[in-house]
Amino acid sequence: MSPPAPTATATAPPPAPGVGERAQAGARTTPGRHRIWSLAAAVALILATVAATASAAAMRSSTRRAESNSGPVLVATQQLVSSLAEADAAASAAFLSGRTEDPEQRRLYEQALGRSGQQVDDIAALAGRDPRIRAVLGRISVQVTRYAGLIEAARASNKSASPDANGYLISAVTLAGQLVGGDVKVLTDGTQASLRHDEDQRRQGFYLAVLALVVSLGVLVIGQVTLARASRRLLNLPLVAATVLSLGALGWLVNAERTSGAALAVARQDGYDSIVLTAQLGSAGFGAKASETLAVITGEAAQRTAADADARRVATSAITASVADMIRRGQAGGAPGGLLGQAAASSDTARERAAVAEAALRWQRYENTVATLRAAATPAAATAIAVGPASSDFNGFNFSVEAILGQNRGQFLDGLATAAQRTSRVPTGVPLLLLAALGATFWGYQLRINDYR
Amino acid sequence: MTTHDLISRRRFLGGAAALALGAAACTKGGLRAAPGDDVGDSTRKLRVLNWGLYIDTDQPGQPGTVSRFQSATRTKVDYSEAYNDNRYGQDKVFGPTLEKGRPTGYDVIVPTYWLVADLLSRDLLDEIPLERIPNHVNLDPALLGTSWDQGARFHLPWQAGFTGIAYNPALTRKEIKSFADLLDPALKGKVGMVSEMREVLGFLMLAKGEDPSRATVATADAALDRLEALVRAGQIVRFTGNEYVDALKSGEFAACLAWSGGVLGLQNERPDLKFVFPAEGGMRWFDSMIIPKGAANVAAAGDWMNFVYDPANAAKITTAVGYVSPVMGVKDVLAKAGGDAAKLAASPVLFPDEATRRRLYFWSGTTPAEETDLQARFSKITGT
Repeated sequence: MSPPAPTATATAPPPAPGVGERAQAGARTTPGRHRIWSLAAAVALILATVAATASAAAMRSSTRRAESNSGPVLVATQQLVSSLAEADAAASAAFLSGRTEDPEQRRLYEQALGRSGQQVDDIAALAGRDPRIRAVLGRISVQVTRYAGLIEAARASNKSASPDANGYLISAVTLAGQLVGGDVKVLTDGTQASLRHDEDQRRQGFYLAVLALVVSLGVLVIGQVTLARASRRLLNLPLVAATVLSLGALGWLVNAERTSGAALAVARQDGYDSIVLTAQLGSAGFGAKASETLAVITGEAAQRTAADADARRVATSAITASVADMIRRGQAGGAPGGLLGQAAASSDTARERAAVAEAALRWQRYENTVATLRAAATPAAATAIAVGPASSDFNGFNFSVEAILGQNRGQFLDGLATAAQRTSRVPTGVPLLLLAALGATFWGYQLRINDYR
Repeated sequence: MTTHDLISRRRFLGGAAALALGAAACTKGGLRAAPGDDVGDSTRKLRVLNWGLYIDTDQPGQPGTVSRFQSATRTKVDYSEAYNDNRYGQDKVFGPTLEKGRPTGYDVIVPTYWLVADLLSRDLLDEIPLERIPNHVNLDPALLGTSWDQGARFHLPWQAGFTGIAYNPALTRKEIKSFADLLDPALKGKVGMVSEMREVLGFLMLAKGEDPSRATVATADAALDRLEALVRAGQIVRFTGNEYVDALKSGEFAACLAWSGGVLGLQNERPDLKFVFPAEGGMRWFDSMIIPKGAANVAAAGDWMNFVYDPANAAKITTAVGYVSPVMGVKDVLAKAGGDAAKLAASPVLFPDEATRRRLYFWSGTTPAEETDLQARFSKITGT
């Protein structure tokens, strides 16, 4: 007979305590409280690391995009405006030189047209797959080709003394005006928006990261106070190190945001705004020149009025040697008015002011020649002046504007490069500091916990 | 003004292109660019390297440009005329220094335009201190718009010149009006050409109705084919540097390609010799002041440039050297001076009219690498 089965006299083992219960139990002991603080600090630091990494990455990628993409696209877009205007003025002047075309004006036309094609290609390459910009660029390419075709038709008709020649040239000039005022403006607006977007993106997640870093610093500081009270030791060196590292990460991030923002602001103010202003100056000058040329060709008073309007946009008063000298010394006080006055006022280096002063003097030379042209006794004499000294003087103005643009472009692109450089190490450096802080935190708490074993 | 004065600048110009343009990309090492917006004060010492006999010198009672600049600015000028040619510039000046990251020891150097473009493309030049050169506004707009430095921010032309045809009517027995006239079999063995590739090929292209300012390898090679045929046929007796002056005087050449300034001087001695811009067009060139990277006194370099761009000072240089001044206003100064100076102001060689200027071309369109190959073939054909 088998023995009877033993009866169950013991009660069932109690269920394992849950996480909350274990935490509560742990919190009742000093080492347990240290463990909880270390976990809290770790969580805070990990969250801060994630937020700071994301913010730093956004800061770097947006400043890099501004440096390598939206900035150069903006510059190329402004150059495109200048190139089209320059091509237009040169084509009109070459046309005016008659059947024996002026090779210098023709060279300038081809050079400017070739440059505009290259600038469209550059913008397309930089703009990547942005469908809106590609669509606008497509339209601009078509219109530039049409424009070049009209110029060639005008040229051929001019050579064969066809009466259609003037019509072709006027169509081409009109098309160029529509192009600059239409699709190229759309392109400019689009690329300006891209730069603004990049500037805005620079701050994406920044304030969250700062908040996370401040919270983690708070946790570290409170943890240290708690630890000091419990252990009666003033300092826990690893935790101090963690605090300093976290503080360093916060300072680095904030400083990168601040200095890159300042560099971008300088680039915008000293560079891009000046580029826009100088491009407007060049375009107004080209407009005056093209209208004056058309006035000589057609004899229409309306063209002369248009030329005068553009000339007033360039400068509203005469430019004397003393005005130029004041521009050089930064004391022009808005003289000679118009875009030249604005350019003089916004010039921030002696070299830039010297370039503006030269452009102003060369513009006045052109204006003086135009006055002689208008006073010419015969249309043939007017044409000779338009083709010769007026074209030469205008080219002088145009190339000195190019010298100002060169200064502005340098300042703009240098500013963008500085901004990018100031954020370049942040996405690596800040997380490394915070990870080191995390390690130091664990180490610091573990040292205290070990005291209780 | 002697003939020698006028020709020294163009010695051995040909052949240097291949060396200069074939140079490998350089390292800039420790060279530092001058600060962009403040070049500081002048150290009162300026070192200039220019071609020989390419400036007015001290005469009794008439200090030359260097002396006048020294007095006006209290700057000591170390003016060297050692720049024999662009080959010297490349091999002895830029090659051992800038291309190895060392300063040249000069503040201003005056190479020919194509070498300036090459140096600029390799970032070996400082921007000129425009703030110290208000006379920059006097630069002829025709030289302000080079494709490689629009606005002339990195160079400032020193002197310019044209290449046309010089001939001895007693030997040609007819007026020479075009480049095609040089190829007349009646002149076989009596025609000379300069040893500068761009100019010779430019004329051969112009004769075919092609534009040398838009040269391509194909058009240049075709011009070289034609040149080779002319050499084989014995039409061209010799390719020379400045020696064409002696060959013209001795009668070895009945006609030849010639440099404007050289002929202007020669005509003082031999007024029977003629110079024309051919009907097809002519070639132009210029030498330009540059500030090499690492220059010790950029401020004084700017002061020098400003001084020689004053029309009154520029006119003195023009009177001495006979080349075309890039400074506007020189013609007026010469005309007002009267006498021989006024004659210079009326010279169509120094101041060609608008119609003639339209027919003068700079060589352009080929890349440095392409020009190296073209130069090698040109040297083989011409024996230069």
